[in-house]
Amino acid sequence: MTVFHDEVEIEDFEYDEETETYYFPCPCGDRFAITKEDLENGEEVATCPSCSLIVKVIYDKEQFMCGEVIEAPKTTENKLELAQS
Amino acid sequence: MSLSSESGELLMCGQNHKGQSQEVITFQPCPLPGCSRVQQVSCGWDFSVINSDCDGQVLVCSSNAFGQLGFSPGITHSAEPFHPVTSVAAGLRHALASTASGCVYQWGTGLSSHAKRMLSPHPVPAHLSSKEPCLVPVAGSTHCVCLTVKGDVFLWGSNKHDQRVTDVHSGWTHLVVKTESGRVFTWGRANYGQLGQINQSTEKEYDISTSSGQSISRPVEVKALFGATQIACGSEHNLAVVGGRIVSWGWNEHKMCGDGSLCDIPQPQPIPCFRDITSNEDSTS
Repeated sequence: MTVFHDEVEIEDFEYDEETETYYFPCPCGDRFAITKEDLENGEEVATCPSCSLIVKVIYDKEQFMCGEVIEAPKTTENKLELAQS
Repeated sequence: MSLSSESGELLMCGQNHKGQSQEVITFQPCPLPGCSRVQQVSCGWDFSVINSDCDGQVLVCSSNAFGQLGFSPGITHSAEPFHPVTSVAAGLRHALASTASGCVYQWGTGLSSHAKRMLSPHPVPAHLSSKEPCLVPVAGSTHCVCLTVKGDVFLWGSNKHDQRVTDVHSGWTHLVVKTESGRVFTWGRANYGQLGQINQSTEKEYDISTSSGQSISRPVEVKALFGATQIACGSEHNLAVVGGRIVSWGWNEHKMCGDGSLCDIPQPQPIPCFRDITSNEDSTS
């Protein structure tokens, strides 16, 4: 029996368009990763390249298998901003 | 990573693909616009929150993918007026600020989709899903509110049994608090030994195991940590200074507990190579 470290919604993953991979932070400091292709094939396990932890990805498999991409926040540009008090 | 020095200078190091800092492996000074002194800095996964001593201003930098910088796209600064900020804290994708008037503000959506699923059909409270600073309704002078990195809310207050909390430390999914009398309590996720508690299997407060692992929902005292002078939490492990000696417990897959092994440490144990070294107030860690 596989023991998942956690279950994470696909909406909470960050999507990298270049690598077509979804990422979520791992407690070890690296990131859990699962590719769009994996999701389209019905995979639901995201693995961390640096440790043994794995997470279960919660998503609508039917939506992915149709080739529809779930909107996930994309990485943004650098910003240093002042929030007034 | 960020540090603030005694002189109020900000030092940072680490990755910079989201503007967190200079991309270097040694700490470098990071000049701030306007005011020059930093009171406190807190780091999230890929953003930083800086509490300056310039009229209680809060500076934020780096990723805003989850609203963790506290303002919506297109707005260059927050329109929400703050009373002078006394303390800031950053979670994975959210941040908190406490003010001199005793209020707590929160921003960043964090894992609100997780909250939606858990709370459904009830709505997610506004302060857990706001991209701009939002007043947390439960904070007050006799209550402490703490959010873990994953967004679980814990609150507690003083009572007649001398459990006034003086220190709060949070891992990703567990909490360690110290009371005025020096007692240390832990609660939250337990499956890597990060709570440091003895006889967890017989603990009456034990929650039913979930696929995410076992957890304990009420604070339980860890007697081995009584009188700890310093406590620090990593994501799933901890360090503390007790009786002048440094102890560690919790997740150890990457040897972060410092005992040389890869085995999780279920209860606080002195780190072997520091066993003969006692700390004193003037020594640096």
